[in-house]
Amino acid sequence: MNFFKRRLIEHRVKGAVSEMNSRAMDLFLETLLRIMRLALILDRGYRKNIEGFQGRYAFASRDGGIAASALFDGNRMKVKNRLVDHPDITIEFKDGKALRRCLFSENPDIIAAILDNEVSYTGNLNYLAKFAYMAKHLQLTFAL
Amino acid sequence: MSETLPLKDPGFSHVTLETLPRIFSLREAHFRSETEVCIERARWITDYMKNLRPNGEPMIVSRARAVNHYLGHRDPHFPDDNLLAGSTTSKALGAPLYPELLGLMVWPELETISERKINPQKLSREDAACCNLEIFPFWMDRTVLEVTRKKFENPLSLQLMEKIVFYMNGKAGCISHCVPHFETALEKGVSHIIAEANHREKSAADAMGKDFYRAVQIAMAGIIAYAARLSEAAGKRAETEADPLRKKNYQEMAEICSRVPSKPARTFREAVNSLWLCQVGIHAENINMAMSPGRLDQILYPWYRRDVAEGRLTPEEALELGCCLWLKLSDNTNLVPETAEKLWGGAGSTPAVTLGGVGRDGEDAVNDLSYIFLKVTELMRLRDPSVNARYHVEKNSRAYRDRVSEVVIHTKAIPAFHNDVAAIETLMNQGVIEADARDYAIVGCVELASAGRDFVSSSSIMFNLAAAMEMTLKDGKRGVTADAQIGPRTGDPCSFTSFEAFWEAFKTQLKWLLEQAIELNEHFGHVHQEILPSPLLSGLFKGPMEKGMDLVFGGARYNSSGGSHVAFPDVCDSLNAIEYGVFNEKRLTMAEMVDAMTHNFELPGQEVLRLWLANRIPRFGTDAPVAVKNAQNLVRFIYDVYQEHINYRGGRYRPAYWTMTTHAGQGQLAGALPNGRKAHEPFSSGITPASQAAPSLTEAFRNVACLSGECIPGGEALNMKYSPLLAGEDVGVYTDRFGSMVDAYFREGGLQVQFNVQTYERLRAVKDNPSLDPEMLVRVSGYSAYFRDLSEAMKEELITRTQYDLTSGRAVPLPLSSRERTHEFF
Repeated sequence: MNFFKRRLIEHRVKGAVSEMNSRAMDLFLETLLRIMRLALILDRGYRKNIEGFQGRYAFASRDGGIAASALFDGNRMKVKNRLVDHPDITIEFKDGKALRRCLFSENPDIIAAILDNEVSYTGNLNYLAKFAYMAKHLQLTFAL
Repeated sequence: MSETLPLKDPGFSHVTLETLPRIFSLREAHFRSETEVCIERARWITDYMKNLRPNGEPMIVSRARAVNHYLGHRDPHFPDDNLLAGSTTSKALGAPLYPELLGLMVWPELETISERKINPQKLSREDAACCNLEIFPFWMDRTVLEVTRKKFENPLSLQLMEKIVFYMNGKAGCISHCVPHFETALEKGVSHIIAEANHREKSAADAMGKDFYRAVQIAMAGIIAYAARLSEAAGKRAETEADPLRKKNYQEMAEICSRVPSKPARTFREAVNSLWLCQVGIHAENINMAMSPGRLDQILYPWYRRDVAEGRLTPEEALELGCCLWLKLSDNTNLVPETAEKLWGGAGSTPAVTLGGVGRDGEDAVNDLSYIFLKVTELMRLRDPSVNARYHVEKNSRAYRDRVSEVVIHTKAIPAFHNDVAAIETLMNQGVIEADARDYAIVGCVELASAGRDFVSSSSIMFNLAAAMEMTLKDGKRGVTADAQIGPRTGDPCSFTSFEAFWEAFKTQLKWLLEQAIELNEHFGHVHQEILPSPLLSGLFKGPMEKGMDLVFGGARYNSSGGSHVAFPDVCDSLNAIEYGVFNEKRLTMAEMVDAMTHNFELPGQEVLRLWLANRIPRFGTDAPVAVKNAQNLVRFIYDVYQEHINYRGGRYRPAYWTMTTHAGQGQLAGALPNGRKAHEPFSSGITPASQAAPSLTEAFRNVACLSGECIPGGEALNMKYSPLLAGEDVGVYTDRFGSMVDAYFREGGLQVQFNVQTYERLRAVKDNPSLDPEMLVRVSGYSAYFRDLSEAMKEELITRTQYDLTSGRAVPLPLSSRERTHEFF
């Protein structure tokens, strides 16, 4: 990727990451998934994270108000605004704020979020660990 | 019989770190080293399993080949001037990654672990990328935890463990917690074990046996390959090294590694290096979670005696080699995610060394090496290895007892004392024959195992007793898990009309939860059989070679699983509070008690109630009949529940009471209890009476000792804090008093005791200003730690632990400032 394209990508993703800090918490998940997808399309280095990776993630708020899924297959990420069948992991969270604390705060902490009953999961914990790494990387690389 | 002491001064008063310049320098470097994550093993093991493993290869053979692949490719690493060759990792102080266990828990932290505030562990960008892109993806569906989840369809028992606040099962993170048998490798060489396995393979009756013996040969050959690489590399270094001392050391290491561990050790130095290389081999296969070397003074004594008798070795040279071994045993620690550091931080890998006691013949086994290793312990003052002194009140000498006491007084923390009479009895009660029971060694913190014969898997369960107490008070629910109905419904506690009714409900909750933990241990055990056979460790154990069966299938001569318990003193005191306060004295109703728990004693009037509970109820550690009865009943009940169960290897479950740092971590996650403990405060450690609960030292000892040792076959940690020797106080009198108190406690039946020789004020000062004593060593609950590394809660628990004045035998009052500070913190 040449220098100018790289700067353009960085600019766009940085803008979106910044937006995540100011948007209403209910939109956190949607925004995170959108940015992740964008970064995976534009940044070859980041895309290495999903090369050969197949994973189905379902996210749902406890009150049922938020539901989304992220599907990784064929080196691509798809986002659905509903819960998919047969996910590798379903992440249930108290609200958008809780999910953000778990994945995108200065010190994201899955275990602490679980202990505080803010986040629970059903399925393979390693999938959540991988997703948390990708979110953290996004934050470290592109945060303003 | 005890060997006649040729040592003129068993305390080696002429030896200091200053007289051992090599050790002084190595020790300084050790304390300067930062922990670095080492991915070397993970990379080679993953390479074999991902790229080289043939389809259909039996898992036991694959595991052996993977270990061989790693050991055969290891970088020969000589990080310093240690006299012993070989290292656990490629770093000076390494935290090795075991992706098949819980290594993937650090995935979210790969880019931040180097810089985190609490106990950072350095990881290069290249290694982090390798983990993220090559190692971790392969293991996502192959870890013990995830294979268990899939195989047993995410059972409730696993879901409860993942809540963290009920119990934790060690098998998700290790096959470890045992004492291997090194004698055959040292006396006859690893080549002998390979030859024996080869011979037995030919006559094995079934495929399982044949695969096992083949796997032992392959894995053991890995250790020899690693030694050969070390020998070659040391030889090359010797050729180019200009410094004559260093050159000589490389030459000697090249010679030693060309011989051991393949062949029998001929000298003391060869024996020590052979043992260390076997330990490195064990870590290639299994994580170091209390992988304990055992009775080093007994194992190594034949070489020591011969070398000294033949003029090849002086006691001082043996002492220097001992120091080198201590540093090698400290060359690794565990890779820990940040939250775990916050809750349970400061633990090392806890390889336990055991000294003294009696031999298989029941006679005094203390020898020169016992004293030499005591001196090593005194000089080095290291967190690892965890040093334990066995003491038989009838057979061991008073000189030995007093020397152990001296070392504790000088180091202010180590070693721990273990009672031979009680330990041997409790092991025999578990079916261990007398000679084997006498040859017990300590695993990790305090656990008992017949050395090299007993696969105790002693950290199978770490159970939170306070969970069962809370569930009884909330009809099967806990505050921390909100509205979820966790346990059976045992009724509204306000409807109970007697303590007996409460006790029955409590037992129902406790039994149900214990059986969930046991069920999960069984599931993990079956998964270990499927994916984690351990042929290398099995080859260094008594039993598997004879039976043709890996340790994880029950190959060891003795098999058991250990369950330890957090919050025993708090739960005893809570039972006392309910019996005495609600039903006997009727100071409050059960409804008032439940309401106080729910509101953490924070509603108007509840602080008065809390103070009454904290100060007026009968407490564990005193002679109050209610307290004595409830503690004895609880220990007996837990023992009975465990002993009803036979584990997947055909052994029994052995309850224990040691808590490492989990009493502080679990305390932070728990609600208020009826004993007046507020929410989030640490629980009491091990089997130690709660802070300020037992004003009399002898009463405290007596009431721990009166708990039947038979019911505590897994071991216990009694943590006592003594005021240090005062200026001008007679050292001999203080030491004698120290030893006599241990003697008296052991004669009453106590299993174990360990000490911190510190004051409230000193601990507080070092907490506030760590530079006052950056290497301060403390006993936590079973193992040792550097005070600076512990969590805030754990430091507070250590500070407020009751301090006893050894002269008066009374508790020193906790300074008011400490009480205030405790409340500030929480």
